[in-house]
Amino acid sequence: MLTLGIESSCDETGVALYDSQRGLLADVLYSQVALHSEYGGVVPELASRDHLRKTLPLINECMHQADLPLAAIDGIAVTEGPGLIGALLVGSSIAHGLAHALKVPIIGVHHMEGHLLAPMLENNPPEFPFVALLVSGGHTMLVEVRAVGEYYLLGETLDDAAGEAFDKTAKLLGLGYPGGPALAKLATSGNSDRYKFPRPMTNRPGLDFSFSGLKTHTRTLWQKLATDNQQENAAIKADIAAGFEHAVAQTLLIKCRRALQQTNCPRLVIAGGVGANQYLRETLLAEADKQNWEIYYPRLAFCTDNGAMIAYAGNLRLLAGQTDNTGIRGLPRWPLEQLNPPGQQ
Amino acid sequence: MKLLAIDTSSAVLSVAACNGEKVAERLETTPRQHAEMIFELCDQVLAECGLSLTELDAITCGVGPGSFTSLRIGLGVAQGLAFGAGLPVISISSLLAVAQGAMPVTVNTALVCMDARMGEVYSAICQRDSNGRMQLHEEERVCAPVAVDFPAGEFIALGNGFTEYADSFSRHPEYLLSDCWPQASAVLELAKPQLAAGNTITPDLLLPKYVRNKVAHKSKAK
Repeated sequence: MLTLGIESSCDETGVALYDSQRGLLADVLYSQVALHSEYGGVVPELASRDHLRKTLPLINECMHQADLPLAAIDGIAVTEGPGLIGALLVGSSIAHGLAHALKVPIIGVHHMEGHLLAPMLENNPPEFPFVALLVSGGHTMLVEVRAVGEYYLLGETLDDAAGEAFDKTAKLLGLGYPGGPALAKLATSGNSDRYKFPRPMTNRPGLDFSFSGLKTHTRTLWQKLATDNQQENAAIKADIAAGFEHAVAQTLLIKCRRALQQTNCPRLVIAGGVGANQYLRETLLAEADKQNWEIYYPRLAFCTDNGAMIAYAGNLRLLAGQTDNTGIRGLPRWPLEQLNPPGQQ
Repeated sequence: MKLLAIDTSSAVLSVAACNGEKVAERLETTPRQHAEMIFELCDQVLAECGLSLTELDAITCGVGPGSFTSLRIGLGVAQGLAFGAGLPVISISSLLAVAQGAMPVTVNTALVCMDARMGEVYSAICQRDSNGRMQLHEEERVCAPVAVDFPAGEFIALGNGFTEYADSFSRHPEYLLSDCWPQASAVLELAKPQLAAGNTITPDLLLPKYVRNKVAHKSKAK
C-alpha cells in the first residue's frame, strides 16, 4: 500500500511517500524557520499561510522523486493534531480534497505517534516495548511504547519544552532565534562547573519536567554577571551556556533512568529536535553503556517534524483497514493515551 | 462550460456547479460547519448537473478577502480536488462575487463592505461592464468604515459591513442591501469569461487575497 503523508502541525511542511513493501520512497520538507526568525517565535497565522503555499509543490516534488503518478497513491495520512489549529486545518483540507479526487481512504494521524514510530523507519528499529524520550521545541515527554497504538504517558513538562528553554535562553543571551543550536555550539567552549544551575524536579518522585525555572535562573544569573567588557561577557556567556546545557541534559538523564527502572524496560528511544544535541547524546550513551540499555536515535531528519513519520504511522493504520470519517479536522489538543492499536477506531 | 465553484470567505458556505445552462447551488449557513459539509455539497451540485469531478473544465474559488481560516479551508479543498483531478483553477474576488450576486440590473455601481472584524471592513467599488458582469474598479482594501471612499453618482451599498458599523461611515448610503454574501453561483458567472480567455492557474497558485497583511509584529530584540 502506497501512502502519502502530509505534516503541517507547526512551522514545517513535510510530505512523504511510504510503501508497505518498498519502504520510504520519497521524503521532502520545507522549513519556515527563516520566516518566523524575524518575529522571535512561530506566528501561527503566517505558518498557516505558508503551508497553503507549499503543500502542493511538495507533493509534486515527492511524486517526481518516487517517479510515480498521483494515481499510484492508495491512501493519504495527514497530521490531525496536536498542533496549531490553523496550520493543521490547511494540511487536512488539502489532504481531504486530494483523497476525495483520487477516491482513496484518508486517516488523521497523531503527530506524537509519528514521532514515537519514527525510529521504525531506520534499518535497525527497536523492538517493543520501549521507552521514548521526546524532546523538541514543542514537547518534552517520556512515553512507554508497548506496541503500535499502545502508549502510556509517563511524564511531561509542566511548562516550557526543553527545546523552548534552549531557544529562550539563547535569545536572552543574544544568540537569535531559534538559537538552541547556537547555544549548544557556544557551550562547547564554556565551563559547565563555573556557575551552579538547578536540576528542576529531580529531587522529588515522578517523571514530569519543568524548565521555566531553569530559564529564569539563567536570566537572573546573566543580568547579575553581565559587564561592560565584551570579552569578559563572551566568556561568561559560554560558561552560562555550558552550565545550562549540562543542567538540561542531567535532568533528562535522571528522568530517563527513573523511567526505565519504573517500566523495567531496557530500551530507550530519543526523538525530537533536541535529540540532535551532541552533549545530550554523549550523556545518555555513557549512561546506556553503564546500565546496559539499548539506545536508539533516529537520524536527525526523522527526529524533527517530517512527513515520513506521518506516512509511516498512517500506513500502518490504513493497512489495518482503519479510515477517517470525521472530515476536515485539526485538534490543538489530543491526549496520546486516547489512541488505540491500528484497526480499532 | 463545466465548472465547480466554492466560496468559504463568509459565514455562508456556498457551492455551485454548472454544465452549460444547467446550474446547481447549495448553501450552508450553520457557523463552523464549512469543513464538515463541503464535500457533501460539492457532490450534490455535481450530481445535479450530471457531472463527475474529472469532467470539469476547471474549479473556481472565491479567494476573499474574508475569514482567514475559513478561506484556507475552501482553498485547501479546491487545491486538493483540482490537483487530484488534474484541473486548472480560476480565482475570483469574493467582494466582486457579492456585487455580481446581489446587484439589480438597473444600477451599475456597487460599494461592497463586508465586516472584517477589529473595527474594519473589506471594501471594494465594483462597476458593471458592457457584458453585464461586475468588475473591480480598484483593488480591495481593508480600513475603518470612516475611511471608505464612496463612489460618485448613483450606487447601491452592499454587505454586512454597513449594518455592523452602521454609524461609523462618513455618510449613510441611500440604497442598502446588507443581507448579501459571496454566492458560488456568482463566482461561476464571473469565472466563465476567465475560462474562455484562458485565464486559469495551476492549483498550487490558488491562494487567498488576504488584503489584511499586518498580522504580526517583528520583535525588537533580534
